[in-house]
Amino acid sequence: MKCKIYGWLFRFIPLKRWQAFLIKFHFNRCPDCGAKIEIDKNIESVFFSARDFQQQSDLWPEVKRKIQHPTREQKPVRSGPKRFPALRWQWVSAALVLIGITILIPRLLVKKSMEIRKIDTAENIIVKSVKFNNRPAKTYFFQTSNPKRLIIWVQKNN
Amino acid sequence: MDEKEIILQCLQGNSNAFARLVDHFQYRVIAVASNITGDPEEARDVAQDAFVQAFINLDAFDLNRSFKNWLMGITVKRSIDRLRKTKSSIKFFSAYKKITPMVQNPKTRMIEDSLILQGLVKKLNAKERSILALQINEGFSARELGNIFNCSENTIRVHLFRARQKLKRVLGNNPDILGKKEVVK
Repeated sequence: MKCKIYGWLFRFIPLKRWQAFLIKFHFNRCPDCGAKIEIDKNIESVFFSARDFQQQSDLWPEVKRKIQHPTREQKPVRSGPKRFPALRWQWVSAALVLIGITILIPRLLVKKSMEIRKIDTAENIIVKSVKFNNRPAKTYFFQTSNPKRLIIWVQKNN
Repeated sequence: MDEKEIILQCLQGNSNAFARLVDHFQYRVIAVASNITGDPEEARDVAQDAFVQAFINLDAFDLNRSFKNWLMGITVKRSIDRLRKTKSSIKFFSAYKKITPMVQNPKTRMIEDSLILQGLVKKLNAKERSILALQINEGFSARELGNIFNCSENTIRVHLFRARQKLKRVLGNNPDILGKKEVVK
C-alpha cells in the first residue's frame, strides 16, 4: 500500500526534484520497487554498441573532406552562456500566473474603489413626512441606474 | 600520445592528428547516434557531422574536461536535431531491417527477429533510449549524463527511472528475448 502511494505521488506530481527525491528516498531503497526497475544484465545487447559497427569503414576520409570543404551549416558555432535559456514549463506557468495576478488584482481594486466612490458621492435625502390630501402617505424611493436620478413615489395611505 | 596532445596538435593546424581521435571514438559515436536516430545509416552521417563540429569548435573545448563526454554531447545534440528534421521519430525496429550486410552478424539478426524491439520503440522516447543506452553501454554516471544532456542530475535520474520502468514492462510481456540472446552469445 505504501509503495502504491509513492507510485501515485510520483505519477501525479511531475516535478523533477520531487520525483528525484522519491527515487532517492523510496524507490532505490525499497526492495519491491527496486525489483520493478531491475533490468537483466543482458539488456545491453538490445541497444546498439560500438561492437556492432566495428566492421564498418572508417569515417575519417569523409570527415577530412568535410573539414577541408566546410559547408555553411558546418561553420563554427561559439558556445557560451545562453542568451535565451530554454523556456521550461515551470517558468511558463509561473509567468502565466504572474500575468493573471497583474491583470486581475488592479481590476478588482478599481471595481471596489468605484463602488466606494459611488456611495460617497450619493446625496443624502431625508424625507421627514409626506402628506397626501392632508393625510400621511406611503413613500417609495426608486434609485435608477443613473445615480443622479431618483424617483419618489407617493401613494395614498388606505 | 594522449588526447590532450592530439587536441593541441589539431589546434596548431595539424588536421591529420584529428584522425586519431576519429579512429578512437568513431564506433562509439555511431552507436550513440544509432540509439537516438534508430537508423545506423543515418547515424553514420550524424557521426561525421559530430566529428566535423568537434573539429571546428575545438578551440572552445576546455582541455580540463573529458573529450569523450564533450564529443558525446555534440553527438546527442546532432542526433536529436536530425531526428527533428527528418521527423522520422523512431524507426528503431524498421532500421534494423535496413542494416547492411556489413553490420550483419548473428547477434543483430537475432535482434532483428525479436519483436521486443517494437515494444521498446513504442515505449521509450529518443532521450530515454539514449540516456539508458549511454548508461548501460558506456557506463556514464548521472552527473556525466547531466553534462551531456545539459540538464540536472535529478532530471537524468528521473529519465533513467522511467526508462527502466518502461523497459521492464516491455520485458515483462516478452520474457524470452534475453534468454534467446544468451544462446547467441
